[in-house]
Formats: sequence, structure tokens, C-alpha cells
Amino acid sequence: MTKRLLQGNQAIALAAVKAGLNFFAGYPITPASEILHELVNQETIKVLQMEDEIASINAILGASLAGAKSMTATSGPGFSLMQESIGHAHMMEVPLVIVNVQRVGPSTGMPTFPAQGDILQCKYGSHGDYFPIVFYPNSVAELYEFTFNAFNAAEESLSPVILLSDGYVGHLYETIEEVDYPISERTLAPLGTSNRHFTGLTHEDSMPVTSDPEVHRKLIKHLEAKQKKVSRKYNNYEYIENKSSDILLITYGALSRAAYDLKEDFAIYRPVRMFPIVEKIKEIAKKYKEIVVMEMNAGQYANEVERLLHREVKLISIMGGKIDLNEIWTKLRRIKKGK
Amino acid sequence: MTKELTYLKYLKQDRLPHQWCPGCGNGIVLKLACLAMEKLNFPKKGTVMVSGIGCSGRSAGFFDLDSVHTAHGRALPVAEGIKLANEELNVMVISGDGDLFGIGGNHLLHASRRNTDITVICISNAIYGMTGGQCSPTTEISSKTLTTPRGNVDTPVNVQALITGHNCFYARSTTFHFNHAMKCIFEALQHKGFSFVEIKSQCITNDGRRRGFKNSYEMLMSYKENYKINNNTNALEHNEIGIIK
Amino acid sequence: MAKKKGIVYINHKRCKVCGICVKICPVQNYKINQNRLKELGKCIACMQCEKYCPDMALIIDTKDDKKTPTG
Repeated sequence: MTKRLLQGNQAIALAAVKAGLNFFAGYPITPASEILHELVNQETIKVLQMEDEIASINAILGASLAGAKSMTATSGPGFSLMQESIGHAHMMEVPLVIVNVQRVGPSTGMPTFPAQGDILQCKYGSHGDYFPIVFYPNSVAELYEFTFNAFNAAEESLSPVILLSDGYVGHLYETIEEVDYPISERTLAPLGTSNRHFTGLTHEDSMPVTSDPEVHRKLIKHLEAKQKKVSRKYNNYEYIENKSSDILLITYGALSRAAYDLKEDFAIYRPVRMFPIVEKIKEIAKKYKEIVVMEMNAGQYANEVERLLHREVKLISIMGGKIDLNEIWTKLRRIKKGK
Repeated sequence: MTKELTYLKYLKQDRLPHQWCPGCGNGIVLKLACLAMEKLNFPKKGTVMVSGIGCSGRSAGFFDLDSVHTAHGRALPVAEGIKLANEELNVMVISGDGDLFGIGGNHLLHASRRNTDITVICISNAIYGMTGGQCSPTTEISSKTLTTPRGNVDTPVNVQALITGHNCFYARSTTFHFNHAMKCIFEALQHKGFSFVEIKSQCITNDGRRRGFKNSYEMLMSYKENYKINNNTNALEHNEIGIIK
Repeated sequence: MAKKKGIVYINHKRCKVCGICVKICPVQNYKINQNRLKELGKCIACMQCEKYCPDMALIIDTKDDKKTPTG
């Protein structure tokens, strides 16, 4: 075990190599390019700079089917381009890791500023129903650890797993310990060993069945059950109890680092596995009168939490990539007074 | 019965008959691909078929090989990923003109530039057949389709220039020139590097019908009349077929 | 009349009666009758129909006693 000063993006790249990465395809984008930069210098893996993000995800999809542990890294605009193929990979059950270092959007937005605007896109971005596993760490050490988890979850669930980060955590330098976490091995037999057909069409026994609703229902049920089963292994969240407070502050990613300064006054809950939502939150939320979700978007996770808890959830929205503790305090005070 | 169609070993025979329309050229190209593979004695294990979306995109599912049916237009990057991850594999792509030149045009440009060792067989029927017969990137000028009722006004894509411009293998043939088409695929499979075979194929249901052909035989004969084999050239004219290495 | 040299096997499960073989046969050996392909026993084993059948439904076997080219 060695200690190293690493940047967030660098940590993802190095952890990926240790987690068994064989193939990386990507397209330059701020603020995720450093992952590509780091990986081209690694001799053990194949790196391809593609013509766009669509080609990138499709190349890793092919490589993964051919037996290579594969990953791509991008930011919001590229992630939008990848959506079709993410759905496709869920349908074909291909293990992939997709890193999304978020920046301010929509569209080109503010490329060098962090945001958390892709939360719902992770879950609902592609058409049709699918049940992705999404991790969102908030420190360099956690990015390192959850890169392993993302690879393992992908192999176990045979699905694309999304590792969220943001421009702030991605560019943050911290000293971390390079731990060798356990690695899940590949179970899917590589291409060229059998006569399977991988298709995005609704299928049964790898053969397309495009006119039987029962087959489709069975397939989607299978996908859901599989994701639920695997995600149980990764019930990752952080909970800082505060018995003197009756407000639970739910926050994650870069913004949650600012929230640590508020732990004297509020209880803090930080999901790391964003989707499927960790059920523990139901139990924790019962202890508090008020639930406040604080995030760097217009309330994406707040809506999901509200839907899960069936009760009112207040929102503190910190937009535009600027994290200011004074602003957070002012907004929290207003909520405190309001009740 | 003493004789058997030995090339059928490359197909999942229980999946036949295929679901294409009567007289569709895709079946002929499927056969051509199998015959070329048989001639080269390709092992079934170790060969991967990739296809895109569309009528021709369904062809991968018929092969008794590991096959991937990709998203629309994305056959090439998937094939590149497969080949680069495991260079032992023979990777073939069968897809249509709309898939490869239209939605996947950018990937064609870059796959040929990277010269990845894959073989692409393009079933070029100059129409979007599966969606009902809309104008495609290879539809000839003044040709009538569902979306060009007064005749197409756009120039068809010049794939030959794109592929040969990157010094890759390019061959053009038609479903009528059966033996020539097989030779094209045969040589393309042996070529190290990116190889592209464009096979003009007939779609009677959604294309020929609108252009006044009575049946797919007439379309086959139109290829006989319109295309001449040219073996000694570096640039095929629009009415010539041949191989450019 | 051309001498009979080939035996035609029609796989009716695969045949979609597209009619390419009917038109391409040089000796008019095929007929479509009530939406079913019929063979009239005039095959000269030129193999055109086997080649161009998009449904792989035709097999032409050359008779053993006559060594005829199959191309």
C-alpha cells in the first residue's frame, strides 16, 4: 500500500487499470480528458481515441463483448450522445463502466464549472425501461474505491454501470492510499466461442422475438431483478446522525463536502449509490421532521427522494457551479425559520 | 437427396426461411458471404458477425456464429472494438447503405482512416426498405422514392472516393454478378486492413415497385445491363464494378 | 429439347415464390401454380436458380451417371 497525491480523474484511471481495465475508448471533453491522458500512458491497456462519444461507447461495447474489461469517460454533452447505446448495452447485457464527470449544462453550458445536472439522465436518459447502477463518490479516495466497485458491479450485473463525478471532485488533488480492492472476474464468455446473437431487439434465448408482449415483460422483469440483486451488495451511503437537529440534509458529490461544515447543526445523509436508491433512507428519514435535499441542479434527486418517501421534501438548489457556504447558510436559515 | 448446400453450415438453419420479402437481394448476399467464408474455410468459432439496423441488419442473427446486432449506424465502431480487443478474431460487418453511409457515415470515414482489419459488406439497395422506402444516401438522382415523389435531387454518396482515398480495399459488385460478388468478398476477407465491399442489391417491395419494375428478376437484369466489370482501373465509373486494392 | 441432367429439390418451407427462378431458368423448368413453385423435369443443371434463389430453397443435384460441369 502506497500513499500518493492524485487528482480525481487520475485516481479513476489508475484504479481502473488495477481493477482489470483492458480497453478504453474516449473522446476529449472538459473536464474528463485527464482520464484519457492518464490511460494513454499505461502500457497494459489498449486506448482508442474515437471520432465522437457515440463511437467511443460502441467501441467499448464491442470490446467488452470480445472479452475485454472496458470503460469510457466523458462529461454531460458526451453522455447525452451515449444514451442510445447505454440502453442498448442494458438490453444486450454487456458489462461496461461509463464515467461521467459532470459540468454545467444544458448544452455546452459552462465547461469548466462543476454541476450535478446529469442525475436523472443516468436513470432515464435512454428510451425504454432499464435499471442502472449509479455511483457518485465525493473524494479522490472514494473515486478510487468506487472505480473498483463500478467494475465489479458491471461484471456481476452484466450491465453498464455509471460512475458519476463532477468537475470539482474530478480536478481535486488529494493524498490517497492505493488499496488493492477485490476484483470480480468476467463471467460472460467472449465473442468467437459460441453461436450467440447479441441484439437490442426484444429477445428470448438470444433470438429476436418482436411480437410477443409476454417475452418483453419477462425480459424487463429479468433486467430489473438482476440489477436489484447486484445492487444489494453496494448499499453505499454516509450518514452523520445529529440528535439535536430535526432537519435531515440530503446531499451528495462535490456539494456534500461543503455540507460537512454543517454537521453541528444538521443531520447529513449522503447517498453514494445514487440508483437504485438505497432503501435505508426511508428508515433514516423517519427520525427527522424536515427533509432538505441540497444539490447542484434544479431538484432532480429531490423529486426522486420525494417519490420514494411519500412526503414533502424541501430543495436547496445551488446552480452555476459556485459552492458558497454563506449562500447555503442563508437558504437553510430560511427553511429553519419557515417551519 | 445426395447433394447438400454445404455453405449452410454457417447459418442457423432452424431460423430459415428468413423474414425478408420474396425476391429480396439480402438472401443472395447472405449466401455470398457464406460461400466466401466456406471457400476460405473460416472456422465458426473465431469469426464474429456484426450488423447495424435495417433489413440487412437482421442478417447477423442468421449466422451460426457469435453475432452482434448493434444500434443504428454503429456497426463499425462495435466491430473495431471487437477486433482491437481480440485480434485473433475474424470480424465481418454486414449492413445496409442507410446504416453505413447515412447515420453511420462518420464512423465509416474514421474506421477506414484507422484501417482496422475488418471486412465490411454493404448491401446497397439505394433505399430505406424497412421503414417503407424513403430516399437513402445512395439513391440515384431523379429516382422516385417515398420521400422524393418528384425524383431525388441530391447526389448519391461517393463511397469509392472515401474508401480508396484512405488507401483501403474497395470492391463494388451487384447481386446479379454472383461470381464476381463472391470474388470481391473472398478477396476482401483475405485483405489485411479495412476492406469494403459494396453490393448493389434489389429491393422490389419498397423501391423497384415505385420505379416501374414488375419483379425482382427485372431488377437483377437491370444490373446486368447497367454494370460492366472492369478489372484494370484505379477508379470505377458509376456504371462499372470491380476491385480496387 | 435439352437432355435432362439435373434433379431439382425444392424446399417449400423456405420458398417464398418470388419467381426469380421461373424467369432465370433457360429451359423454363419452373411454373408457379396456386402460389406454389412447381418443377417440370426439364433441368439441365445450369445452376442459375440455385445461385440466385434468395431463400436457399433450391438444390440442384447432377445425375451421377453423367459427369456434367456444375458451374
